[in-house]
Amino acid sequence: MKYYLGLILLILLGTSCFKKDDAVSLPPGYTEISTFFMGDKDDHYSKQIYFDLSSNQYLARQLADWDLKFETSDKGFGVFINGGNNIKTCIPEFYNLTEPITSDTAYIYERINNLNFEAVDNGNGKAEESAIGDWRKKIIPSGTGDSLHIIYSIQLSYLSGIDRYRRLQIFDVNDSFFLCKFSKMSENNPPLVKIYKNKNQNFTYFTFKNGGRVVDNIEPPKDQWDLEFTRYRAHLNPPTPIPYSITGVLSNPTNVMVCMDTKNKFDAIDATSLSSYSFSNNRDIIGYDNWKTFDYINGAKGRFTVHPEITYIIKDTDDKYYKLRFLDFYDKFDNTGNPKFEFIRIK
Amino acid sequence: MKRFTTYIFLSFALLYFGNAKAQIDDTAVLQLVVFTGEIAPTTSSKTVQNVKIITFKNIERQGAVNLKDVLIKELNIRISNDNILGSSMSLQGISGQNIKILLDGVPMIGRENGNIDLSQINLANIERIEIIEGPLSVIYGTDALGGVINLISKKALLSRDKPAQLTGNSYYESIGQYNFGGGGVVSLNKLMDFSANVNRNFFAGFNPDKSSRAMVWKPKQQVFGNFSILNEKGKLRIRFKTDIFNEKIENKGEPVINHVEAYAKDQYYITNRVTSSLSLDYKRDSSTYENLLTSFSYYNRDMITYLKDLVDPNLPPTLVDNRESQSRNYFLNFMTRGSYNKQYNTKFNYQYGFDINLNSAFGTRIESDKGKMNDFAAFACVEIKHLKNFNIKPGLRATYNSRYAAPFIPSIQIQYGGIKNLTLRYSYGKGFRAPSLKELYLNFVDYNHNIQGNNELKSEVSNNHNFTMRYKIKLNRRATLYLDNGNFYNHIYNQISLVSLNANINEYSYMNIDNFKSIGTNFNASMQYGRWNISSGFAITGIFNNAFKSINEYKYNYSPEIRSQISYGMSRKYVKPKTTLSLYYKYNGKRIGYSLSDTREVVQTKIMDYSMIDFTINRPMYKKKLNLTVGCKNILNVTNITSTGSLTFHSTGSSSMPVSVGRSLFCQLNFIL
Repeated sequence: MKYYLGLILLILLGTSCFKKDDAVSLPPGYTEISTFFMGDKDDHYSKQIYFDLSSNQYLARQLADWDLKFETSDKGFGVFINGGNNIKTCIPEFYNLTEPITSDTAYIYERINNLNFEAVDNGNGKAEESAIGDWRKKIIPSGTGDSLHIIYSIQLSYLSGIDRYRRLQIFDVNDSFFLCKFSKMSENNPPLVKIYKNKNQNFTYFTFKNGGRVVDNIEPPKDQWDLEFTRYRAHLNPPTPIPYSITGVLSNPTNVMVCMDTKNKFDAIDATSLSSYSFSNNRDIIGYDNWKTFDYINGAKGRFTVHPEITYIIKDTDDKYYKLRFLDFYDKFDNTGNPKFEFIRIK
Repeated sequence: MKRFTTYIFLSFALLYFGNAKAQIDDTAVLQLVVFTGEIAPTTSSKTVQNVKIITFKNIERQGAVNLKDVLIKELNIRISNDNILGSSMSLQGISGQNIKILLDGVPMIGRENGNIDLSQINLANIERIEIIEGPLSVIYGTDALGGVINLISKKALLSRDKPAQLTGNSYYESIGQYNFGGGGVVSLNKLMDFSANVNRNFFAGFNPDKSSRAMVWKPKQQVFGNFSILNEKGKLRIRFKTDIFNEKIENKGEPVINHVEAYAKDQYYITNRVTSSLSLDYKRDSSTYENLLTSFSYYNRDMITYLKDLVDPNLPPTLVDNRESQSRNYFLNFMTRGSYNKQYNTKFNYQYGFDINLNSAFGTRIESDKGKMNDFAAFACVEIKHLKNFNIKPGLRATYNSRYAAPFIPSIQIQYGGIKNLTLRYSYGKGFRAPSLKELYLNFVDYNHNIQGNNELKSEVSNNHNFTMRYKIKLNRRATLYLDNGNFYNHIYNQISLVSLNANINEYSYMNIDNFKSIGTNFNASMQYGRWNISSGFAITGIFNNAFKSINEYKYNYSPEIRSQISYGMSRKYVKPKTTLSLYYKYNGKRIGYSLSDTREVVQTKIMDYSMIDFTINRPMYKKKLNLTVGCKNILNVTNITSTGSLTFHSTGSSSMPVSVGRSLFCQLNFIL
């Protein structure tokens, strides 16, 4: 009998259950917490958000409202594509846009199919590392005194058929404007267009919609925001680059500098820590792949994990210093595109 | 750990007190009857095809809980782990989606990413496992292209002079595994058996970072139940059986804690599988045997996400109600397989039959009107024996499928016994795998993906050649040495892959494009010498996939394996062994391969080599009513191995692949009353 009792005792020991959570006491609060939704029901990343640390305010703009942006600083020559709206460009061709272009659709498709629309703007914001790059160095003097200006093919994701492809040729830039030509694939000899630099902003925004026009009111005044939360395209898996749409944070190229701290705890960072940091004006120090990582689960479905152990130190447009860390990328109902972060001024 | 120590103490107390009533235990199992793929149950030495058998005794000695625990020690088998999807396998280099797993001849359904989770197959009520490498598609149809694993449930009582029997089992492992279960069989007038078993396996989860709320190895609760009625009267044997499985995996999220709120999002993966089968065996006369097996299987897997308030954990969690956070998928299968088996004379047997499978699937990403696939097949085999020392068994299967063009499947198996002590076996088989409903009808479109199923897919077809040799050397009265050599070559055509249709708009679909080959050889020596039982083997498997020929230049990537198993029976002189000490070793060599990332880049993958060693002590007690196994698993404490390449979606460079939670002590107690 004693053995049977022993057996029963052994079996009873074989029970265990899922562990219940202990109640959490909220830590004392001293930071500002901010969150917003970057999209809508159909597309969780359809907006770009301009965030100002000093006021804890943000402005939301539709990513679909523009296709290209032109650098507005006096010496600025950069032209960037809106990867967040799936605008793509490719390795350029050397043709003169004034030469007759065939309207043979099959021929144009064949040419397009040979193009590789994989070029991506470097997230660091440097014009020479953008997909279009330093176009000034690609002008080829011809023997007749004219120059051959490189032609960029642009793919507009929101259009279909042959109409989704456009040509861009940049002829010149000065303190005030860019001199460009835009055309459809079958169109020849388009007019020269001046894209004026809006000095109040970092960029002048352009859309091909409605025949092509400059779009105002995308970016707030450049001294009134610090961080841009946006979808953009980047190369994953270096050194074999794979262009992919990602969502991250870019800093204001005007007077905002950022440093990432992976060693010190958020609470331990204060003004005395600043001397140990080296700040960068690269726009993508916060970027998309440090503060959150993607865990690949169950085939094509995965989840983002946010890393609050990483702190970002930010010098804003007013020369004030903040520490910031991310808390979440989902809202309480598990919708992505809802970055939640806490921050506080430390100097 | 404290509870584990208590358990160990109590177990050893039983072991000590039980010693006084020790009985001689005979562990030798000589002639094992094989059911899988045979015209009639046949002893293992007489089968035309090579069958690997793992007996319950062997399972018990290993302290194995589920199918993964057993297969991980076998040659030509590799196991991969996913903390949510569970354990999957490859056999002869062929992935698990091409391997059919049967429970008493009934195919298991519920493949996640093409694989049955091996950890969902409990062995507490399993009599033995039969592993056949190479296709058995003639009899078992789709998915049997790489091989078949058939689990045979424990026998009934009918033949014994005992009206009832109670069984129980418990298992503790120091990594937080707590299992227990029990069952009973009642026999009425030696005509009818009623049996029922229930087991509960619980894993508490593990994370090396004790402060983390999220677990690397997810907590898991599994409940297994089965009920069967067996009636045997005259020539007819009827068995009705129902197996029930429920699993709950808890995937707790990292908490969001700030001075305003504290919460976390927790996911639960709930799996249900119910299989009911009715088996009729009619032995018309001494040479005629008819069988009809009919089954209905239900499988369902849900993912549910809750928002958990951590300030007041007693509050009920809130359902996170959006499409991304919830999923629900169902699979249904109705199968009926009948066969007529005739032993015409001592030299000629034949078998013919039919196999009908009706499948449906519906769920989050499959439209309900499209998730149906029906399969009607007829098959026939003949077995010609003693033809100048040759036994020859050709077979053929013809299939009509409602969704794809099914191929004719021929096979031939030859056994040669013309040389003393040497048995040669050769088998050729054509195998096939039907396109899965996901591959046919997936519709997955979001900003970064546009993946469409392709309803014009052809089935994957394979040619498989296996050649094995067994040489028996009688060393002396007490020792016999068996030398085995196995060789295989598999060529899978029309392998289904996800391919890019238009990279500019991320449009992909499934296509028949790849040619996959695997080739390999293995040697094994086994010997029983007195109290020693030693088995040691070496295998090498090469894999080639022409989808990546631009990179690997038509080369096979080879990977070696070593397996050793040493058992020693402790006893007094001239008494058959009672306590058995066993050591299991398996070396899995480095694996190099190529894969396509989700962005269609060809990347090289490399999984580093590792070794696993287990040590167990097994002792039956109280006239074999009690069986105690204790030991140490994963003595080398392998937890993660380095893997390089784009194995994950958004990760780069090196990462690690989970192998095991780590070194553990375990104690298993099985009893029969």
